[in-house]
Amino acid sequence: MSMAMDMTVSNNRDTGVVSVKDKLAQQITRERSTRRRRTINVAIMRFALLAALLVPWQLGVEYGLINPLFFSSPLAIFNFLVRELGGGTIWPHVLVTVREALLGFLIGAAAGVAAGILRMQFPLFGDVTNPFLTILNVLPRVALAPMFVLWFGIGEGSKIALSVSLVFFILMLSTEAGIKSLDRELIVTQRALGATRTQLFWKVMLPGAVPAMFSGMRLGVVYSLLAVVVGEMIASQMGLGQRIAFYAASFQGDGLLGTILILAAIGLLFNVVVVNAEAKLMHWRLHDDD
Amino acid sequence: MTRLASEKTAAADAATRTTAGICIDSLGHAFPTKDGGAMLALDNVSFEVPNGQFLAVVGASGCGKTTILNMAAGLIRPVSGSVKVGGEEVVKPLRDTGYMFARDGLLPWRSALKNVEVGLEHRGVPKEQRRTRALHMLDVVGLSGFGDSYPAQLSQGMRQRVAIARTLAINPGTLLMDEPFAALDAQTKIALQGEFLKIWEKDRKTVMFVTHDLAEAVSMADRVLVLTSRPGRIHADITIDLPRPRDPGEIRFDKHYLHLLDGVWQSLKEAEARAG
Repeated sequence: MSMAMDMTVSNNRDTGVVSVKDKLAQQITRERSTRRRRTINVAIMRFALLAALLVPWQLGVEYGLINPLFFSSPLAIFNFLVRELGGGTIWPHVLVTVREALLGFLIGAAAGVAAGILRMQFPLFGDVTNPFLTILNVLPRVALAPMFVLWFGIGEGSKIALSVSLVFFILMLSTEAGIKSLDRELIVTQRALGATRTQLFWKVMLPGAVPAMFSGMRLGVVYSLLAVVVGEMIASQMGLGQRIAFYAASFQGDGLLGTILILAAIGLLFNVVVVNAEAKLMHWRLHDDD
Repeated sequence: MTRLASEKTAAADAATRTTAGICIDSLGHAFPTKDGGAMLALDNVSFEVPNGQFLAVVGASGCGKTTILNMAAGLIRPVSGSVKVGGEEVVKPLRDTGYMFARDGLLPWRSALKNVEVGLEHRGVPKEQRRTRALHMLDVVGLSGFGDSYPAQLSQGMRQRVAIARTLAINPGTLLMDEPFAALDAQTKIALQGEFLKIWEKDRKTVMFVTHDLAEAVSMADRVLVLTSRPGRIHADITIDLPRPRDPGEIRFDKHYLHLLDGVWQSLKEAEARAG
């Protein structure tokens, strides 16, 4: 192969045609502009798709084909968002929901990771707790919501508890999966290099389980938000879930859909935070597509 | 080179090492089979590797050569018999033994430098000392400047070099090697064999090297043990009296080398015929 390359190079030098290097540079420039064009096209098409959904909806309402009592209208939702976010009364509810979701996530994730680690490090503990945890995990956690209200009151505590009950299992299971799927070779190599049990845990198992923990966390934030919203819808005085229940009961479609949009934005924000943290912590893995 | 163990144990190590490198005494081992029986893997295997000798162990797969190595490394316990390294009975991985595998086993989340440091970390070597030593070892294996690279950024050959540096960084008195060059392409393999020999010839650590590559065994070792398979027994013990320093890339055409290689090859054929 190296001989073939040598030949091309010397041929080019002799005949004076455009060098391989220049051709490659041209090709790279071409590919780059193709990619840029595609990005712009995708953006235009996305906008067109959005318009294709919203314009007929708005026109349908204007011409009396769609009942705004049930479906509201894009403009009404837009007005609601402008009114509420621009100094309206929605912010305290946003704050409550975000706080509940974050606390639930943090407590649930910390406890879940700890439980997963303990169960992997102490197989006896894992075996004994297995049936109990399995039953709790298959149980539809929403069914526990009324009980949590009895135990923790109608305030934020019951919502956080519901969130913890979901996030805990997600993180416990993904931590366990991460430790189980760890390459045995890495452990044997480090043992042969003289690692003690404690060192194996801190230097191999824990960092090795981080990727799996992150995929658990990406799920976990979404489920935490789901849990607190459901909790608020069941019984609450504050929070976006409570708002949704209220707007739905009083046929305020703009408030209902507007609040859902706010929730979507919060969910997106949570997701971005986790994905960024993951990219930052796992830079070693992302290097291979440099 | 600075010894990393405390001076007292280093002195004790040195005292025992002059007499015994690796001492394998009537080793027997069996693995459970699916039908509830036992498969005899090693049958009364005894040999010694004198201090400073480079021993290669060859044999068909299933001859238990890796099992012997794992026992010497303290990763598994024999059913009967004993393994001593440096006069000490091996019951768990010894701090003065380095082990190299076919796969590099590098921690993917650590840079090359941090991977070389890891064995020193296990031994509680202070950070600055660790770093200096690891940088030196990367330099020795020809990877200076790659300290900050992650395993995913390195080629297979470079990763195996990092693994060599990692094993040598703890300055082990004994090296156990399980086909450390098997995963490499032919060119890289010969290059790394040569580089490893160059490093080894400087301080002659006791080496037990398991391989199924006969050329590798003959070109690198002082002595080759040929094992039969199922159960593993010693079939032949061949001295490789080729001069050092050796270059595995050059020696391939040496007459005496080819003669010895043929001898090992014939012996292995006999061993396999005997195993049926």
